[in-house]
Amino acid sequence: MLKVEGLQKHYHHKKILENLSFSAQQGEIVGLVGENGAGKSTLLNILAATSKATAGSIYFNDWDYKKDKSQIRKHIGFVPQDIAVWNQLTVEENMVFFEKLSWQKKSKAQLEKICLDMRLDRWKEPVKNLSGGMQRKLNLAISLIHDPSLLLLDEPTVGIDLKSRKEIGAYLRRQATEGNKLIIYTSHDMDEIKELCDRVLVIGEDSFYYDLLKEAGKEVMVV
Amino acid sequence: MKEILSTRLLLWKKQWLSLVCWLLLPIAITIGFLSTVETVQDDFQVPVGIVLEDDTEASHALFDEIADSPLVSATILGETEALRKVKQHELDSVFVIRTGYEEQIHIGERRDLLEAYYTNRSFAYRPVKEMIVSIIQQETGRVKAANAVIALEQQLQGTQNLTVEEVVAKSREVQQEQDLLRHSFRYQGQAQAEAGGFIQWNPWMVWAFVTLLMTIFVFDWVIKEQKASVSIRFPFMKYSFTFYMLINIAIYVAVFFIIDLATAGLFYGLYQESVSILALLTLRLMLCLFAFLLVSIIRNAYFSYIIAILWTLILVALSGAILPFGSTETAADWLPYVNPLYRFLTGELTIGWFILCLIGMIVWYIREEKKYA
Repeated sequence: MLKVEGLQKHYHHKKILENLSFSAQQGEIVGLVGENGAGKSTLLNILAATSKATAGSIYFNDWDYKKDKSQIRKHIGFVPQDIAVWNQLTVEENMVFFEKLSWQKKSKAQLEKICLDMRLDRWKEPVKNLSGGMQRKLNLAISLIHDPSLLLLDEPTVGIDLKSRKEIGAYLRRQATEGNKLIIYTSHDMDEIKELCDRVLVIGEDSFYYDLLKEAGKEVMVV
Repeated sequence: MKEILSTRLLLWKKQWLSLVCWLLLPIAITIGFLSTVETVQDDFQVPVGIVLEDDTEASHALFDEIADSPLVSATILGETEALRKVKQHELDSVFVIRTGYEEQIHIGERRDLLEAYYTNRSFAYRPVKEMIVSIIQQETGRVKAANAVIALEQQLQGTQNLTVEEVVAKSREVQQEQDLLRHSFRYQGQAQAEAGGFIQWNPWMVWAFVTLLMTIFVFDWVIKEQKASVSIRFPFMKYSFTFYMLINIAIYVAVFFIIDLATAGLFYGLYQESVSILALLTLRLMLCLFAFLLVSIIRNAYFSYIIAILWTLILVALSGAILPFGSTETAADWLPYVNPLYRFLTGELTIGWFILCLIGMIVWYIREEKKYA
């Protein structure tokens, strides 16, 4: 369970996040929406324990972000917006590379299964020859090698075709329900958010997203 | 650590050819440079024939002085053969040391001592003639000075009873001892390496400068990997990015050092030049840390290449190979501090620069760990 209480983030006197509180359970997919500059990526980085909050407290499975940062990081899968893979290596080599540095040991068969589960079947293909959708899938697959219980995704489907987007969405849903993972997901695509997320966190004061998501029958938290 | 080595091997697999080229380039450049220099030096010697009509100690001494010049390849020949060779342009010119040379030198007479033959294609006749004339002038000057010293001794009723030969020998000794033209571009204190006129290029000296440059070039992996988007994944991995970098530096040091040992074996086989393994190790450690810190500060691959080339050229210049900075007393004081290769070139351990780089590494490590904490 993730619990955020009174979170604040200031950059040089500029308030990015102000008094933000929410909680989320394992098995949920929580969407994170808001205008550009509202602080979505900032929040995601704080939740990923790569950036410090100015004030407030965060707990994940009773671990305190202030005290147990390294322990928490072991359980986080972070999918960056940029495709963070080695372009010159194949899919297999990328998976093996990150498995070597991962907290969990996996066999090649297990690594290949992660890829196949999200329909990434070009195992021996160099990344530079893959389509954008396939590269995005690999970007996600690498973050899942150590079987994290909290998965943070920063616009993981930006710029890819509808088919790949649907496949990634379906895979994430399985990860949340079958893998009992908590997934926090940022996107600008409202259709995707409406379709995939159980709950939506709207950052900022704009009522646009709130109205849109309420109309779609989603549970919306405005922070 | 084994895992990080595996990841490095995965990355090397894709660029093994360029890596091998960069690693072996210092050896190739050193061997190529030395053989080119040797060829050029050989080609640069002017073939000159010497005919000894006067078969005395003084005429042989003159021949030896001519033959000692690195610019001249002198051969003793009979007059007929020498003239035939100069006509066929096998020799640039021929100098006949006339009968009575020694006697005339002893009385200080410098006229008609030599006879010269040359053709319209004898491009080096004049400089060689000038060189021989200056040797003769030096000899006659020496004899004159000896006669003056003996006369003075007799006038002052001295008791040493010096001979002309003794004074001449002493004069030569003093000239050698007080030779002001010393060049400091030497390897392991090789005494008078340039005494012959050409610099005696030691392979380790050439190699040291090339390997400095190549090490910085190879370390562009640091810039590529620091800039790569994959670094964002490291906070969620078993090893921090700083630790990953440190282990990779160690891997590169090991690979470089293996190549260095192979180089030591090769240079010993080719040039009979040995090197202290410990000196080589401290140099390698220092070079890798230095290259890492340099590229970490610059953070731009192309800019780092330019800086590396400029830095190497400055060091070569400071060492006296191009400009004789190193030969001045003032330069000698500060040269060891600015030239990271200086200790190795003098056959010592590279401790000072290594400690400096180590401190730099500690500062880098603490800063990076804070950043990713």
